[in-house]
Amino acid sequence: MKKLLVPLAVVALLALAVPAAFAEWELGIGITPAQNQESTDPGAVDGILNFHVGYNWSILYASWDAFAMPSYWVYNATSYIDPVHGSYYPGADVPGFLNLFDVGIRIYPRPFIGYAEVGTNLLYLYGGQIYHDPYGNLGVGVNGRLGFGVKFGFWGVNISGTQVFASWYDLRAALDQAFYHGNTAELTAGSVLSLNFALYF
Amino acid sequence: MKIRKILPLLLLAFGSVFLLSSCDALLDAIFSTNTISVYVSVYIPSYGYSPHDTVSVSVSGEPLATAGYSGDDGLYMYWSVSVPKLSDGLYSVTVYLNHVGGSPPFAVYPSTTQSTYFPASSGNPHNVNLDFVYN
Repeated sequence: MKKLLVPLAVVALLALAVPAAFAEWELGIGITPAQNQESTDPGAVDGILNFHVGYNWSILYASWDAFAMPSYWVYNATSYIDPVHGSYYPGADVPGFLNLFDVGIRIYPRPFIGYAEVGTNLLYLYGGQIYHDPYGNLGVGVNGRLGFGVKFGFWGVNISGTQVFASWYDLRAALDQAFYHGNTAELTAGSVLSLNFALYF
Repeated sequence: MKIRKILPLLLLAFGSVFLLSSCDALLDAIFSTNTISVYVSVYIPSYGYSPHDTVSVSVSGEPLATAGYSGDDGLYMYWSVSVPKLSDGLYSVTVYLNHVGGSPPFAVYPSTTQSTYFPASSGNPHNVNLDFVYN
């Protein structure tokens, strides 16, 4: 418990030290250029669009992001090797919307801006379903995000990297592969690198 | 100053599309939809030859596309048919050759029936190419 209290206390103190006038909303869009140029499938070279809403109070930061994910990303993020049986399970091979709900901190040493967040995510699959984990539970996932950029008054640009696990089971399977089988590629199967443009209010 | 007022509105409009659109319709608009492309080759000596012959493609029992003869190399004659705008699912694809030897046209050879788990295990998630060869 002490291990958790110390960083929370540090964050709270930092938040109090920064004037509340720093509170602001932000609205943005982002794009990820096509990642899989070698694929022979025209649908697999789509880029990724995202829409972003954020709120920043002092150094505390909360955001919601919606990504329009192409099928190859959804397939990679939802495929897994079962840690119990060792069998490979192919993921959903359809496009979808990934919604990220994150909290974290944002710092602004002018004109630079940086943020770090963790949160949960839901993946909507084409056809009308929310992704469920292999046991049929609603696939509430987990993600972590780092971003860095510049802010010029009311607008700014930044680059963010987000690591997404479509469900807790996917996270468990990826960790199992990474630590027990040396297959670290599973850890980054659901990564998204994005170039973002934001407006601040 | 104007751009400062217009940009938020544009972004809000973009966000509204994300939020308010029917999700599948928006995904359809953003990403290419599924297509099955069918390539048919028929060995001329065993079939006969007519540039007026056509092929029809049925997907899970539904006749969805027909195409005319597209060429030959002296041994084989070829047709190429695409069935676009398919939703994801398990499809059985059947190709018929319509030999116009007389009238009316009739299906001569119900060709090889090939089922594919589309798109998950195909390796080509959105677009599947199928080759039908009749020797």
